[in-house]
Amino acid sequence: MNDEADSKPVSTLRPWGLRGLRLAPQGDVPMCRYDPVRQVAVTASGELWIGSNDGKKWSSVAELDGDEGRSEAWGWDDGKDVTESW
Amino acid sequence: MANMTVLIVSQEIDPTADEVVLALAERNVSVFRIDRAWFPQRLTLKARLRYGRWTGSLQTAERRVELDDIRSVWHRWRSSFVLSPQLTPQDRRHAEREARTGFDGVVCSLAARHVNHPHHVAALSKPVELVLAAQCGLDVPETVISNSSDQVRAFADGPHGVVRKLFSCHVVDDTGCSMIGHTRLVTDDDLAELDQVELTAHQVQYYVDKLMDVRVVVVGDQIFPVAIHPLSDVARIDFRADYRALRREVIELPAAVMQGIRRFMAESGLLMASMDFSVGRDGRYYFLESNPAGSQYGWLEAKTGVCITDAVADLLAEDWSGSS
Repeated sequence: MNDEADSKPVSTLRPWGLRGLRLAPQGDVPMCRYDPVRQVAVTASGELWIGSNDGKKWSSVAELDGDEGRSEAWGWDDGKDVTESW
Repeated sequence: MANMTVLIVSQEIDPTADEVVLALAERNVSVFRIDRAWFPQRLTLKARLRYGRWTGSLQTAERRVELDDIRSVWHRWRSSFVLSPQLTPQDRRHAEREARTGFDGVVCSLAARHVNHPHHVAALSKPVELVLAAQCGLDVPETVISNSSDQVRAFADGPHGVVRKLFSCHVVDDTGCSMIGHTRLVTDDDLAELDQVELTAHQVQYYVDKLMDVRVVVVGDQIFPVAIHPLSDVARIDFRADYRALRREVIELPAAVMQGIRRFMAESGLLMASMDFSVGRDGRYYFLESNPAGSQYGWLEAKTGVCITDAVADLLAEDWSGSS
């Protein structure tokens, strides 16, 4: 019986909509921490994170918007718009 | 005396919320920012019902706000509650339900301006918003929602290409990996597996052969339309799939689309939304979806200079008491 249970085939049934899923982008964790007094993120040196280069990039990153809201899959906006300067 | 504090509910690391915190500070409006994950271990709720409204306080280690003093609530992002690790799984589920009902219930019933009220957001599922958009005079692509493979096959057989759109594009697979299901053109391979349609509800739409996408951020009475020109084949199907291949520019919307958007906002009860349209080669603006939760706009603001942060701050700071 155990052998039978162990060899039970994994179901290949999946909803049709799940075809073609892609791995969500996995980025780096932002280099900042929340300052509970100022109520914003700050850098290790206590400067405003959104005023830093890192923060500016993060502010302009699109994330995975849509009905899911923000994603935990952080990503860098390391590229400029193709026809614009940042 | 008018209440004065803006309550912001978001994640700790949220540059968009940071910008609004700073904009409110410039307006001398006090802010009480919380992450829902802080409740109940790092955030204390003391609420008492008096004369038909909640009085009491929210308090962290650093600050405290009187519930009566909250003018507006920005429901930007709802983290999961972080409960004591010592709870059993059963007790954890109980505690989670109680927190959701008790904590969220008090916050949602504060006599404040809610941007957006979670009840309005919850009522606006994708099928509901497509109907509402059409009722408000906006063009909506031909759409099928079905678990019938026959219906999907017949729909896909038409002269247009069709796209598959998940209602929730973010999926966690069996191994815990986070997966994304962007809008994608239905292929012959997809059509060969249509029996899988019968496993749940599926949404399929006519593909809009488009000139561009338009993200419209609505904040109160202000409407910020930004054209998004896809510069790759992938982005042409779903711009979210290739953010680096986009060109953005501020545009003006046709009057009829503006009118439809205003009707949509009024009918839905939303005060803020990010609405996506595709502009077809026929020049028509096809409503795709509205995203009230989170309303991502930082990437548009940074690239185009539209002043959405100021509009959000003004909406939250406005003394609406006695007027709405």
